[in-house]
Amino acid sequence: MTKQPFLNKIILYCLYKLNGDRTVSSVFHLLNGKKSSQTLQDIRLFGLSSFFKTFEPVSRPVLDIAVETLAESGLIEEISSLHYTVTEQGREEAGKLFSDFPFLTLLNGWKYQNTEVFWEKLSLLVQVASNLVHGVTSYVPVQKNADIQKWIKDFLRRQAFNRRKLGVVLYNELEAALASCRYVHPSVVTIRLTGSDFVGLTLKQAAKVLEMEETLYHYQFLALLHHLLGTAGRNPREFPVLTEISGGFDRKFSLTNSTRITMNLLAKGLSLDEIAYVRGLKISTIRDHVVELALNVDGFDISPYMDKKTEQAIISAAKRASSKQLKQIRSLVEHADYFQIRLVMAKYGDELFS
Amino acid sequence: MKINLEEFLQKKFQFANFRPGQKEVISSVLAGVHTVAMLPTGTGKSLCYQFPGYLLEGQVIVVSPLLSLMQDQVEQLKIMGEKRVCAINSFLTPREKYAVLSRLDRYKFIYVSPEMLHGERVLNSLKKLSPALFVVDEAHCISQWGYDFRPEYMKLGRIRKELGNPLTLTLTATATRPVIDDIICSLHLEEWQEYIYSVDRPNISLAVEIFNDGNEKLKRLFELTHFLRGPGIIYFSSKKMAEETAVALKDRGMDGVEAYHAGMDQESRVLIQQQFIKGQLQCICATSAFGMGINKDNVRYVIHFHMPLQPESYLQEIGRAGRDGDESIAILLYSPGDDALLDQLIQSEYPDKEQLDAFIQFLMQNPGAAADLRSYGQEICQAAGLTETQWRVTGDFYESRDFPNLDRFIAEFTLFIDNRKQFKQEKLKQMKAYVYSKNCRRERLLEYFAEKGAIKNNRCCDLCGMTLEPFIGNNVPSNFHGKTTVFDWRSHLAAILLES
Repeated sequence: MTKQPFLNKIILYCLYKLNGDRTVSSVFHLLNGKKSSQTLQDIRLFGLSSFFKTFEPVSRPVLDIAVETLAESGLIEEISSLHYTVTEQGREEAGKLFSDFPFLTLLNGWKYQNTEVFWEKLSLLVQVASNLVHGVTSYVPVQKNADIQKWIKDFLRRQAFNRRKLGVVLYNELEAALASCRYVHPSVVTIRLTGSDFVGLTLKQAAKVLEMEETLYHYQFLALLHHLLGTAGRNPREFPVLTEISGGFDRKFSLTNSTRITMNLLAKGLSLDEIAYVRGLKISTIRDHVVELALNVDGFDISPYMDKKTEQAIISAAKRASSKQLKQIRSLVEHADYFQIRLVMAKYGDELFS
Repeated sequence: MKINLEEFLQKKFQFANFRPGQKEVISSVLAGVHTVAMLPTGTGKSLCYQFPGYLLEGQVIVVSPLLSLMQDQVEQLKIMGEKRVCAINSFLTPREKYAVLSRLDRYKFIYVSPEMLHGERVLNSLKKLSPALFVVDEAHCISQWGYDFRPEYMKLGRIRKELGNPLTLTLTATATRPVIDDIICSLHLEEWQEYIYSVDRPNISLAVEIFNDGNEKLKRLFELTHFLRGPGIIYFSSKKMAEETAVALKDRGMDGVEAYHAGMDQESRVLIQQQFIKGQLQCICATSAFGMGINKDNVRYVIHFHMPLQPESYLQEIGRAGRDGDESIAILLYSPGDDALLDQLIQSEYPDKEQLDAFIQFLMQNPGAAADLRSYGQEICQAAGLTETQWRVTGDFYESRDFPNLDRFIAEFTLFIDNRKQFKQEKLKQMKAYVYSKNCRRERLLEYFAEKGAIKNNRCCDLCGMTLEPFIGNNVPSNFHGKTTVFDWRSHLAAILLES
């Protein structure tokens, strides 16, 4: 499969690990980093955490084409609609992915879910530092996100050392961290950086200049960023600036507007029925909102919807269930309804299957 | 108040001279007169309210319909060091919106999108201010004779009254006489000054080339980009064509060419735009999303691979050439096969019957959504399969007045759509008339805006005897987009972060 994009190798590997138990949609949600209870289960169950959220821009048609190509090359076979099993040849191919591409060992999508934010902060900080060093005062920031811009401003305010020195510190940290990577060439990240006098390249341009297929480049770029994050994490004293950039950042949880309204009404103490009535929506829609909240809001309280005993029963059922489908779990706790099971899965998805 | 305007311009904005029309409009505003201004693209319209803003007591409220343009202007003011600027638009989270509204009086420049003015809270907060100036940007949107009519703009007259009839400035780049009359009437201006400047940009030469089919056209594009002196912009009406042509040009050995369209991620858009401005790129294959708010002086050619739907847009897009005043050229490539695409563009701006049915069905199933339509944007677009533009048009119309029932809404909206489509077809006819004109093209364009007196020399247009010779030149190869230089990451990093 030399001519196929690198992404296909990843997809093949995921299907190989999923072992025909899941549909192509699981791969799709995994790579997109969808935080559904199902996906969270999958990555734990099948050991795919390094690939979580590593190809966010993957769209369904792109994935379908990739799967089709894999099937045509005899690497996978469709067993039932959208269910694929990996052929002997495919197993062989998938089995040597990590030895063929050792840089993938750097990848840890589950641990570094905020890589995008890290890159936004890093690229903007480098640009700001460069302009400070070269005395340029007006320029267009490469990152438009207001939260990121504010973070950088606060960061600069916190810094004890003089602003011109920031360039030197950043240079030393980046030089050391990039050079210490055994598997990915430092150009992969460096060429994307914007300075006072040079506008960084886009992903496509970088892949072209470095003569790499685009998805291979994308994974190398991600792996190198994960290497930076790991290096800073292990030696925070040597890499104070990188450590700060990689630090926690609350990306506002992404709720639909409609869910937000439900959240506000819940906070006012309305019941689900009342909310459905007030908003003129179906009760099932409101329930979907609540599950979405349980998934995205840390510490979301689900006690109004079931007692502690039911909650515990569902947790233990989920742990015992052989397949992780809702139907299976329900058969083990018959007094719980699907809404309650979905809520528990959403809230504890992370821990349930480790 | 006696002040030397040029000195202030230099001090505050670092410009040595006003561009045509700016000083007149600014003086009029400073004299406290309602001002209706039409300035051609590329003359820096925003200076007309930013400048007086600094000299007048109170806030400047700017109504602007284009979110991206609004964000650009806020950013540019911030780059200039102005912190007292905010934008009230749908990008704000409820919390941010609350924060902004609760200290509105601390801002100098308040940008607001028209749909936000419907909210009681926004309007009430604005009413507490004593604004120095009320600015209606892209004022042609007020008029149904404008090519970009926004029903929600019609309410601006009422809103202006509620704000206590503040001093008003309307700005547009392209408006025919009926549109200007509509602007004045809708805003209930009783006394006003008009500053109407010619839409003509004499340093841009005009040419049209007609082909039998798309292939011939493409071949000609390859030739033109090969010998024309850059930097240049090529406009397409489809993202796919813009992207494919950029690839084709690269494959033919052209250096420093990239595509730009709204479908790209934001980081790439910023980078491509900046690369072009800084001269790392020579040519952009773009959709109409490219160009707004971009200040690049030395664009030498603008080629239209697909023509826009109306002369107003055409003028705006070619107006991105030659802002430095040097000789530049605008070439329109046309083949009759384009008509189907253009027609489809008009159709796709509005929802069709099926989509409307789905929209109504959603409202019937979710009666609560009707009162708070904007919060359901995502769901509605999904349920009815609406594009962003279609949703904007539908939402705007729905909110533009109170409909007694859904049937009435559908009836009126359908009528509205039919009228708009017909109107757009008329505009398209004008574009075709430009393509097929027999006499001076400039005269033809100016006639559309009821202007007379085009320059008629051999640089004017192809029909006045212009040739392409003066526009031929070598393009400077850009740095390592081509593979001439080896990329050394350490020295690159050092160049960015260390003092030389």
